[in-house]
Amino acid sequence: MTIRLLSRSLLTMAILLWSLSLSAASDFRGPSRDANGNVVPTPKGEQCIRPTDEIRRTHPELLLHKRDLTMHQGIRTKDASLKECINCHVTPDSSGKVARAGEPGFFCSSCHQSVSVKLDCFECHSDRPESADGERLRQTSPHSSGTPLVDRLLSLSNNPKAVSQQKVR
Amino acid sequence: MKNLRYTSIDGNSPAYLGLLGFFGLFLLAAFVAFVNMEHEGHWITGMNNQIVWGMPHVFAIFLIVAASGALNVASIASVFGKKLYKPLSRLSAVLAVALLAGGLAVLVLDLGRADRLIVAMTYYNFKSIFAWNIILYNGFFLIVGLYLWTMLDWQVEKYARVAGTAAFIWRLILTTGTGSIFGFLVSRQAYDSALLAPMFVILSFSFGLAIFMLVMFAAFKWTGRPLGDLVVNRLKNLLGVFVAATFYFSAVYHLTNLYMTKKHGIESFILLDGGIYTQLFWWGQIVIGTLLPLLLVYCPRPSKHRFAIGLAAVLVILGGMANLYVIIIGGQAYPIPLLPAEFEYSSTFFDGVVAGYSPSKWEIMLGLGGVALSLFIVAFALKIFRLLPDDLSDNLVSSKS
Amino acid sequence: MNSETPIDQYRRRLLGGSVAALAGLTLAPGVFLQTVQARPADEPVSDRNRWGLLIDTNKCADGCNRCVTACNEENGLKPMHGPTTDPQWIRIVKVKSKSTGYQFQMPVMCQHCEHPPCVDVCPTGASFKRADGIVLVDRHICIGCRYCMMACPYKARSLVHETLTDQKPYMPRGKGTVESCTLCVHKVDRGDGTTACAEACPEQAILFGDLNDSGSEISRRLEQYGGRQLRADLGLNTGVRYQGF
Repeated sequence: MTIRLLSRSLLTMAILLWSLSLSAASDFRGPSRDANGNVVPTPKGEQCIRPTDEIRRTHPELLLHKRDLTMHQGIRTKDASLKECINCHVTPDSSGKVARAGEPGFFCSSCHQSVSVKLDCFECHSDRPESADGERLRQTSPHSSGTPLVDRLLSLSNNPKAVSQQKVR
Repeated sequence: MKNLRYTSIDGNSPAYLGLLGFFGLFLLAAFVAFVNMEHEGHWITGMNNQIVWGMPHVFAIFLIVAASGALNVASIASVFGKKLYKPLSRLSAVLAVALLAGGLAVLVLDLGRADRLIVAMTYYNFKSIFAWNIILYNGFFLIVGLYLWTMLDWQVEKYARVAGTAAFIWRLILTTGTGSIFGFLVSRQAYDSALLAPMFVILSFSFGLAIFMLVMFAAFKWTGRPLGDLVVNRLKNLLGVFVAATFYFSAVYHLTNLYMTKKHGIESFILLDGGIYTQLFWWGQIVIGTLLPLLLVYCPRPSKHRFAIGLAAVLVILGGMANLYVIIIGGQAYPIPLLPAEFEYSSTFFDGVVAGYSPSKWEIMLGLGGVALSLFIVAFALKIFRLLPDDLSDNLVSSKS
Repeated sequence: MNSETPIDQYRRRLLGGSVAALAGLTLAPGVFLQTVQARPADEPVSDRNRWGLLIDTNKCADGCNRCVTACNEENGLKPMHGPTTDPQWIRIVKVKSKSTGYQFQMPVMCQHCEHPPCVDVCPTGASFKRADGIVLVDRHICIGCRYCMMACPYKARSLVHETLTDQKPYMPRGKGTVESCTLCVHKVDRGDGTTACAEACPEQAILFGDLNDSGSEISRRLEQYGGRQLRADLGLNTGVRYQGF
């Protein structure tokens, strides 16, 4: 009887300590927590491509389906781009550091580590958001299609936020 | 034929457990090699962007090809009605399954993404002979499993003929598929030949029987069962026929290539100036793998001794490995002609030069682990199934085919 | 001057409108054709286009490998454990004729065949040809068996031999899967109208274009001067053609 009581109280203490340790892991700006007490970095965008409850449940199938759309049909909308998910969800912490995949503080790992589901995505996919300069602003060079005017018109339509039309080399 | 009694072995003797432990060491080494390759990536192996398939594939394809050949003894009994071989059918079927398991283990563990095996089992590109091979290998396990059941269980024994025929046809298709893996490739001078598929079928007869004979000798000797000369001599002669047939296919392959001017490059590479590949071809495949075994099997003096017959089987195996090494690795080492033959090439990607390859210890550990797995399965099966006849002395077996 | 009759106003409007229409008609084909290249992001690719390259080896300067460095930089290919295992999506091959002594060099990359052997042999279908002719590896289902590397007549494919970090966000690549030149599919889909190697070539020896569009520069040049395939006897109808030898 006493052994049962002892083991039960030990188990309770262990669970308490474990959940305390989770909260201790949060050391960056604007930490929000989800219902499980997992720390979730604040995403950049207004809202996700699906409501929170739905995306939590369906993101495995969504990812599986959208990746085929992108690979085989070349569909690269924000809705179908893992890159855009990362651009939004992987944000710097209070010290400006961006967590890497698998580290505490990385958006996907916040849930995946506590449910023990290994993430395969970041073996191949970059776990960093695209930088504001460099990647996003790569424009076609004026020499490529022979009509500089059309190129400039096109690049404006492709990227309304473009500051410079010059290719960043 | 008098009633034969099949028994299993007790499997408690220190020698037996020591044997299992010996195999277990190789299995452990292979496991370490696999974990290392999977964690670090393939850069630790000798395989690279030029020699894409290396030592693990030589081992794996040897074991897979031998697996289908090891079923021969059972097939000759069930399908062709030669009752002399019937007592050995159970061992033959188990050996076939064991060899295939060992070969597939090596192949799967060498994959760049071995964790995606389930993807390979669920996404199929039916134009790929590789995809067909996956179906054929799995089917082989199933069909030979059913065949073994008809041999072990007297209640379904009447289906042995049907199961044996199905297994025989299946293994022919399977080995044709394995040979076609290379035969279908237009990219390399050494492949791209319809002859490779039937050549692999004949190689399977030869390798499979050689391994079967060695396993048979060991199993009977170490369990103290008499093995008469009648059976051994028939198998010995069969081995000789298969070795000769292998040589025939190889000769036709090379002679045909020698007739085509555009293939002179690859032929002179293999036959004359290919360095290790030339050595392995002449000394390994021809002398050790063909001439010496034929002498041992057919010359009257040596062929009386069991040691000579066993040696012949060992030499066939060594020669077979050399043969596969030349085909698989030599075929990749020879440079690809991007333009018609009159041009020479050089680049940072080793165009125009013979690619170098030296097997790393990880690949050899993995390959040997596959062999160990096959032998482990056979040894263990001897304990749990009643595979071996008690006595195969001459006076007990029928001399009528 | 101040008193414009209605007729004058009408004439002005007519003239102005006609000039505008004429200007629009002149410019419009250019704009329209170019915007056809930039496919909307949510529209699937179709076989309306077939992308290809035309390489003029006469222009390929001896000793130059700017296309190789541009490709490496664009796709995040870094040297890792040595030239035997490092990925090489494009390489400069120096060619010399044994009989005549004629020498030249040419960049060689995935030829984006119409009948790709690598697609035929892939057991899982990871190696595939997109509707617009670009041959790609779906690295999600690549199991790393390397059969496509055996099958490629141009030795265009590389295996990733080690763990990678810091991949380009638009070019995911990882250990254990096979990869090759993607014809800068991320640039093509964005409407850049070119590839990194073509952009970087100082002699403009590499030309990217739509082989299905008979009005494109690549099609016009191919029609005028012809274009050789590497290993043409295999009948693969490659998307990369060569001129100059």
